[in-house]
Amino acid sequence: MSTRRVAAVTLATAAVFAGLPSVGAAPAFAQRAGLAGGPGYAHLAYSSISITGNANPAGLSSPTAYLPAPCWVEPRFTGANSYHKGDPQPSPNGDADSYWWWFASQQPALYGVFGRVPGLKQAVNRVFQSKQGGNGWWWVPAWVNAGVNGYACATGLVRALNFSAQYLEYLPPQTGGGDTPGHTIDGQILADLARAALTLPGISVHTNPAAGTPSDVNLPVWVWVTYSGPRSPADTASVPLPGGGVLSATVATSLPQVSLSVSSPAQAQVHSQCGAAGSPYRGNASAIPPCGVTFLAPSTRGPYTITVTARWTVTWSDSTGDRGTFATPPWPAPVQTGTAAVTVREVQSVNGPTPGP
Amino acid sequence: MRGQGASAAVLAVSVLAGVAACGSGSAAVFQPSGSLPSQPVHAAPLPTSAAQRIDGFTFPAGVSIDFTSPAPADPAQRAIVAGYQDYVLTMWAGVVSHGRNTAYAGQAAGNALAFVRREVARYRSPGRTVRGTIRYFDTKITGTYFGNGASVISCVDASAFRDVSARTGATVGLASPGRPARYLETVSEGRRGDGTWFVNRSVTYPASSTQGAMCR
Repeated sequence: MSTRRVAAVTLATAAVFAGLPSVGAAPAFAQRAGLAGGPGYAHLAYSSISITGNANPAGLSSPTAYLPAPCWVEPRFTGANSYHKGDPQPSPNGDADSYWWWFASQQPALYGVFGRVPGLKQAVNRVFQSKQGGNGWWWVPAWVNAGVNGYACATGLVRALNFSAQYLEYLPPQTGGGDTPGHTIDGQILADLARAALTLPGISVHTNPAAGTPSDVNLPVWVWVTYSGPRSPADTASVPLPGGGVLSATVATSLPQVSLSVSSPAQAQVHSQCGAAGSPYRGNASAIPPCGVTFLAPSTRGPYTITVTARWTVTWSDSTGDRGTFATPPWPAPVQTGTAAVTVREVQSVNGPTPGP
Repeated sequence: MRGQGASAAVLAVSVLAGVAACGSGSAAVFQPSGSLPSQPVHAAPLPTSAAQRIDGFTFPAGVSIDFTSPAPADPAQRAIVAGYQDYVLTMWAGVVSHGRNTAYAGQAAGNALAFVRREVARYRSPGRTVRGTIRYFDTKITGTYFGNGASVISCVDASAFRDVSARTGATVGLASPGRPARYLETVSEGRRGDGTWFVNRSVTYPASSTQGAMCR
């Protein structure tokens, strides 16, 4: 390593020292033992956020999944977990000091440089020792851990936010904010996470005549659906706060609204009063179903296709009273679809002489 | 909230970023690279930064690293794509040099660096090397964050890139046996103070998977 680099690293260390705010400047957050290192959602990195309800982490893990805020800043380490003897530990989860060293190791070549500067480790550790037992909290970047988008976001975030300790901040760096990546964790970001993880139930399409049984021209086909889970799924994302409370956001769905479409609209009459479940067949084959299709011509070019769409309205509300919706796009449409193939025959009637007495 | 401490912190960040960039060359001026069959890297139409980082290194005959996606028109986006291509080139330079070329250490971090180190270690012996063509295509930037973080996806066809015996030329298997022949590579990138980019996380999905389906 060149002399110039050694000098630069030494200067950097001094700057880290000078850059930290005094303990007295910390807000009077109550310590809440157990948050740092406490339970979190497995698909989130360095986060105490949990997501419960009808949620599936696969919604967060797809490389093309939409999430406006794949990283954010949240309270992570209490003053009781600023520094521990022997830091940095192999795991960055235990305290702020170890977290700092982990993040530093993610810079190309930087970690190796640090290892060769005498006294640097001790100097950095002293920064965190000075906060040990203090009333403040270390706020840190956290992110969606599946895939790379969350970490890319966090990489940009730490440079943009200009934390006093580079990768983490001993004060709440922001309070509230809109739906912008990098804002301190808030109801909107929690709602976004809950929305991305929300699982809509799958649907199964049923008809009468049943699948595989031909129908006739002008004979109504009854259509109904069953769901593989709750009809109105909901989930909640929550995070503990320094004051001892919890910030949470719940994503709720309406009852689904089912609609029908057919592959040959000119040959069909659609009965579209479907509600949430369509029209289960009750044994009156000639009655007009509220939800179904009457085909007006035979399916001479192959079976007709009935496409069934269940559509939800999704809303969110948080524990502070804020609420909102999710626009589509950019959010994926909250729908599930299914299809049924229907073969329709021409009804053959025979007109002959009326039998005599 | 910041005051005097803030300026010092800014200094710390900038100086540390400068340290990270040491040995990394100047800002990337990316040009469409095309194929690199048996060409000296510094003479090929490649990102300037890559050429400087592995200055003097020549890929051997029979090794071709192809980037077939057009370069983005926007200079800022070109620099992001160049960061990914630099990562790829320095990795394979480390492999074919049997570990003597270490430019990858300035271009990769985190689990991306761990992967590169494993690949380089696999070919540490002069008796093994790689031959053939590896193709990177459908390369796209999928997200940029605060101007300092970005995610990039690229399809990789490694089906014709092989682990061979340096003595006999006999094929041992795929060059990277831990990865499928065709896959989606997604990377996280960070921006240095000088405007160049490095890769600090890599996640791959087989083309046969749902996530990697775009690469079939």
